[in-house]
Amino acid sequence: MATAWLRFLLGRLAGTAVVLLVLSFGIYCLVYLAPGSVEHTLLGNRPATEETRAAIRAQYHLDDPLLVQYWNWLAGALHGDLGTSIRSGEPVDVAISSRATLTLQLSTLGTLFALLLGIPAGIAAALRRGRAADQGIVVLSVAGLSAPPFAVGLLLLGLLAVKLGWFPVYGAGDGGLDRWWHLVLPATALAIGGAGLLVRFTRTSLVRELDQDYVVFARARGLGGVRVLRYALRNCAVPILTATGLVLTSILVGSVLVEVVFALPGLGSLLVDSVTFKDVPVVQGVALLLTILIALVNLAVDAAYAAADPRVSLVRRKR
Amino acid sequence: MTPFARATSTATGATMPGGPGFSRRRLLQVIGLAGGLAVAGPALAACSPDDESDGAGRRLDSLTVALPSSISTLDVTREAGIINYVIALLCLEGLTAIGADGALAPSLATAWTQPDPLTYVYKLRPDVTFSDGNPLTADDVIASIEVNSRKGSTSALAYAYAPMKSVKATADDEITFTLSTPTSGFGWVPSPSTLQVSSRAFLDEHGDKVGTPQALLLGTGPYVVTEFAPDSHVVLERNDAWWGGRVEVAKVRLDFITDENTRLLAMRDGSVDIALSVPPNQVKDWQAIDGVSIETATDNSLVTLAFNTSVAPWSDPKVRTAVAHCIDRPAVVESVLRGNAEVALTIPTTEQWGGLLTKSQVDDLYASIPQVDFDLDAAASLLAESSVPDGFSATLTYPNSGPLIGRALLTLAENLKGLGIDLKVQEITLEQWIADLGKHAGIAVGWYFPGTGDPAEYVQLLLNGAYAESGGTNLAEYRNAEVTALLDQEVAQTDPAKRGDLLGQALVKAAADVAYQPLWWAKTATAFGPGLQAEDFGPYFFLGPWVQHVTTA
Repeated sequence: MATAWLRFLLGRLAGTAVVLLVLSFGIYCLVYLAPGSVEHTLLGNRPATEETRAAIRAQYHLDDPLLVQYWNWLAGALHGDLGTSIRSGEPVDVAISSRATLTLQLSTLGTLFALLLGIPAGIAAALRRGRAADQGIVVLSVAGLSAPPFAVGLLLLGLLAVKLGWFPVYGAGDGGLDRWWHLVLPATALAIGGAGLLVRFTRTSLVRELDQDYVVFARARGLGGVRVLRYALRNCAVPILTATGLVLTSILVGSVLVEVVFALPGLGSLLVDSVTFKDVPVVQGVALLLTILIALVNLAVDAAYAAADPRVSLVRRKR
Repeated sequence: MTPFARATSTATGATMPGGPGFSRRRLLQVIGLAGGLAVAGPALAACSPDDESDGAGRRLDSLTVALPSSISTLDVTREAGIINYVIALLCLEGLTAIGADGALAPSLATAWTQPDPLTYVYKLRPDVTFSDGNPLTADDVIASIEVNSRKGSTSALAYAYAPMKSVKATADDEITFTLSTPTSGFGWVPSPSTLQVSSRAFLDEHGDKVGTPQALLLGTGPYVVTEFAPDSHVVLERNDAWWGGRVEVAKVRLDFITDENTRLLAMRDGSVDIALSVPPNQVKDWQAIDGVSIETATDNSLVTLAFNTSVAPWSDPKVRTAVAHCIDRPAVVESVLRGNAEVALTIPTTEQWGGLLTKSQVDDLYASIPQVDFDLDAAASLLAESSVPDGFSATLTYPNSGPLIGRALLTLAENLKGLGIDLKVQEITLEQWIADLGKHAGIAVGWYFPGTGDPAEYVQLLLNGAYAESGGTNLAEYRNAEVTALLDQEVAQTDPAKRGDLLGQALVKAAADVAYQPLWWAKTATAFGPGLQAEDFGPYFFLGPWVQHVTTA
């Protein structure tokens, strides 16, 4: 069993490595082809001599053919050197690591809020199917799903930060508890959409399970409501886990606008700035990190499937 | 007492006989990559109420400032946007400074002379130390200049040093620049927009890493950067050993808050004390906050249309004039910019001429520059006589950091529809817009922040035929032999009055050809929180150690 798991993990790892390679080349090409030019962006619309432009192109090897540039980057990356940001002069790994922490904290908190809000509401709606409470929850979840996170963010700011003064208006805080305090509003703004999604998934699958024969039999045998619900919920685990994975990854990559609203120095704003600047080393670094994180989330979700539902198996069993 | 006043009192020998530009008012506006129309408004928010001092009103121990965009690096030679200057010039100084009146003032140099048209000599201030305690030497100044002037320099400021042949320490406290050709505006080069003095040891140690969160900055100014987190904040602490004396505010925190609504909420909440770049359409909301005052000043920036005179149909002056007739500049200033701008009559603002022309000479000059005013009937009849009487189509792009420029251009496109001209107005990223400028499209929009206080700067760059080749700054590829000859004479001229006269003639002549249609000169607004005010607020406020001019009301 242990070796089978190992084989599964190695397979996943190899698959992820291939995805990373293909993605890194694809992204390199896209950034290379994107409009704009590094030397013009660095110099702005000030007058500049051709000499200065040539010096900048030489420093960043911008005149090399695409494949040579990519190869140089790849060789460095394989040796653990992600290069230096053209925009800031900072080593890419340093620039990314401080921001990755914040983005991970924000995504984790956002997903947690989405789970705490979405699953109980979904269960409540399923148990009161067709009644006013159900309809109310469904309408709210659709509203949550469709509300743009930055707009929700501004609303929360105006209400909870400025009017009531419960939360700070912007920034990432000074670390420790203060950091989490600062992340409550942005995480909530991000969680609203995810919670809507979770309500829909939870409600739909629970409603289906509650209609199953085993539930009717269980009730006929006189089992209590809570116990029946536990049976049904266990069978809803797969769709809920799927939705959780979706929520986590969408929060991870979708935090850009919320970061702007709350002035948070996360990966999203770094990625956007670097793409428009054509700062290839940083774009590559952030994109690869996000890819790895998403692969990890998917792996965790798959493993959770197997734990939650005995019918799902990640490793082929011998008969 | 302002630091400039202090500086002046110690700089008795600050003379530059016959030298261009040194005593004139100066507009130094920095070319901004960052920014948009809203580049210049500072907001200081929220000093905590316990900052009350004993007696003399509120004491300013710390300030929180909201900035409208982040910077990538503290190093101005790598990223020379307006916000970079707002921060860096609190820590780094030039040989000269820019006074509130726009004139050059002593800074690390106490005096300077120009013995001949090719030589500039600066006397260093004695007993200046860097914030790490080491003394400032002439060699440090030379190292700071070489960052921009050495061969293969990638500095964004390298262009300013192109006329320089050499720079040497001619005594322990003396720096001498030698030029290869007389260059009328060179006197501005050692000012903080193009020279920020650091130490040779620091520059050698950190190289390309200067300005990153790991290396930060080392300078002689009133503040020291203690923390820099890109996209988040910069923290500055007072340098008690500053030669200009101890400044009142011990700590300045500059927060990057890119969302304009969040900045407004932060001021309302009292989290910030000062906010830069209040958007014109939000000024009323800011003023409605109790105790907040808004300071507005021209930033001398210019927004202009450029018609490429060597590409059909724009090569036809009738087409250019007809299109220029179709933009209602006063209405754009009033409705799109909410009055936070002035209709641009030509390239430099009226305030950039100090030292070259008197106020009345400037007024006479501007009255004599031919204008193409809003007149749809005239446009229609001109187009009917032109090479394209049935109209044509064209594309005009503008940078996403200037949404108001886009709205102004849409009014133009709307008016052009009536003439059968289909003008597609497209928003593109700032980076792409900058890269495309050098391609000289048929019609383009130019957006400039002068990098010196010299009116000649953009007049030369936009009108001199020498810059008309592809990739050059003369977007209209405007080659008028007479205008170019006048401008070439101006560069070599050292007499201010003659320079003013030559520039004036060139502007009048060029205006008749309608290669450009200047649209507006912008103003920017800065919000000061309750109990705060700015001394000497003006176009040059942020181009020096500005925090010392923020006081309690």
